[in-house]
Amino acid sequence: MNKVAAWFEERLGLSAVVHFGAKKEVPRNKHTVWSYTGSAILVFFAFQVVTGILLAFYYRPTLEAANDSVGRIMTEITLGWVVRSIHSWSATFMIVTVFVHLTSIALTKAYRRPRELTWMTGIFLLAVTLFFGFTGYLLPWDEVSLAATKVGTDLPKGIPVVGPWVTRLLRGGDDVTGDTLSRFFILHVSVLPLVLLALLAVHVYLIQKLGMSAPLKAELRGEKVPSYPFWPDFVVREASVWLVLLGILMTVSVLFAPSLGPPADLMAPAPPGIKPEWYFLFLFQTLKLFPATVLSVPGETIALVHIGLGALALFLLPLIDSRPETRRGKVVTAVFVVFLAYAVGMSVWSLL
Amino acid sequence: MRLPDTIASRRKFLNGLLAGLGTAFAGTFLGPLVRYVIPPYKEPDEVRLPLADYRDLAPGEFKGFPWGIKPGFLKRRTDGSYLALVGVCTHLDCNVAYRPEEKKFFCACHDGWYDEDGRNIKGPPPTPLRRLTAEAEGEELVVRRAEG
Amino acid sequence: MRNARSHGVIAAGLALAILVPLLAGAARPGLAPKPDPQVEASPAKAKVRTEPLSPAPSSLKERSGIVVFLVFMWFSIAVLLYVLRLKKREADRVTSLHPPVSSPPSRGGPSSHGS
Repeated sequence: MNKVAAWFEERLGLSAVVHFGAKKEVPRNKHTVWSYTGSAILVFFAFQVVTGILLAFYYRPTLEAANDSVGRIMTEITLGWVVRSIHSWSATFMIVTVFVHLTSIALTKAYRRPRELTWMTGIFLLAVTLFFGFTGYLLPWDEVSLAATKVGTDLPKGIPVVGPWVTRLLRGGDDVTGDTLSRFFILHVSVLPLVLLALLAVHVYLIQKLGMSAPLKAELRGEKVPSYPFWPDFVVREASVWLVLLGILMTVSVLFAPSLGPPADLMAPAPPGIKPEWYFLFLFQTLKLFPATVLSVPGETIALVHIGLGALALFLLPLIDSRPETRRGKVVTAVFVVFLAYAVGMSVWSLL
Repeated sequence: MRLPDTIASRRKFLNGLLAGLGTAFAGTFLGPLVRYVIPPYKEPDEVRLPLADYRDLAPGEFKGFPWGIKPGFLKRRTDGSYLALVGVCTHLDCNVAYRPEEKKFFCACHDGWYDEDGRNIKGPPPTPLRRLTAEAEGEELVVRRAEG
Repeated sequence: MRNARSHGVIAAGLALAILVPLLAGAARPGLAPKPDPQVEASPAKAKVRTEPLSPAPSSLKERSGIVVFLVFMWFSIAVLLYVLRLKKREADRVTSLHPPVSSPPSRGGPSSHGS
């Protein structure tokens, strides 16, 4: 070790991290490809932080100036349209990767004991990610974002007891106003990042402490699992994946930059064909399925209760599927696949 | 493993190559990033003012006008021509004020003084207030950057 | 002596590698497509926009700038991927000399305390 490295090593002791990385093993089998999704999410999130900070240099979070400031970023600031485009596309890519990550963990049952808390922090991370998307969507303050936010913040009203209060909390009042924009902005750039980092710290710590899970069958049979050392073998492979993802993100961002609608008008009627962002489509469609009232209970409330129970089941999945090797385990897998098909099907249906 | 007569082992070479190329790759994004974070503010090439607002100024009296986002001062001379100055102190960029009683410009930041033609007469300012050209063109008074 | 020289060579190479692209990136013509109509930076801009803004490169220079950037980026990525592949091969070679001791997976990975 040269002199400079030795100076830092004496004070920081970081070689322990490298040693840990060299000892950490990543199982090597047909499921290994899904192990790339975790760091991919982090790469996209890193892009969000950087482009988000850059956008915040010029974005003005007030009702009067928000739309204009985004317009200025797109037209006057050098390469502002690229920065905004990357931010928009990386959000989509990040959420897609989160869904893929969740599905791969669920189908390989990597959430089983002792990794239940890793799964649960993961579900919280999913919720935070979706909330990032929801709050960010309002910030350009154009027609579509206003309409989507009006609908989105109206939904909690259907929750029994606390519903109307939640809506008022989200909106900063009974209606979507400049106050809504201000609080969505501070949630998006300050509160949610802090919450996400805290959850991420727990999630990543648990992964390091408990190690990468082996395939269920191998574990049951007590078989030896071939593996890669995390450092440098797996990291080198991950780095290649990150490069390709970066390339795809940049290409898509540069060729398919999003447009900006005219500033939202609080008095104007809702524009035709409004839809939430794609990741909420299946929820949106589910709500449409329920009739206005069922036995004098508002249909919205029934739908929300269903959605709430579904979310709770997803959160508690490791506890429900406590013995994945048994028949119950197979049933859980089947139910999950059905849920997945439902989500995809409803999303597609909402677009027709 | 390192053969004699080579500058580095294969591992060191690969690591160096990766680090260097990786840094270069990241560097290509840094240039545009720097341009992004500095917004393109340009001073206007010209500002057009309604002549009527300035035609009746008493000789020696200053009136303000907007030069982009900076304050400007216009004076009508006795021979009918106009003097336009940028009201930004040449010391450290504070906005100056005109004191009509003393016929001088004063910069409050560090006690800088300019005379009624913008020449620096006292205090830290190193050069006179910047001059612009101002000419009447029809119904408008057109202020432009001075040549050179 | 040889060590110092090789370090010097690597340091000089790195410095060049960082400076050249930085300067090139700064000197490249701005990729700032503007939609029609061009927005002026005049202080009396009070008109309210009624049409959507779609960023699209407006001139041939901008369009070709985008193509050049994409080609350059993918080429650089390809080069980096090649170097990473060499690193991968070397890492695998080292691993085969010292394969990780893979014991049967327990229900907690390497740091479990037994079920």
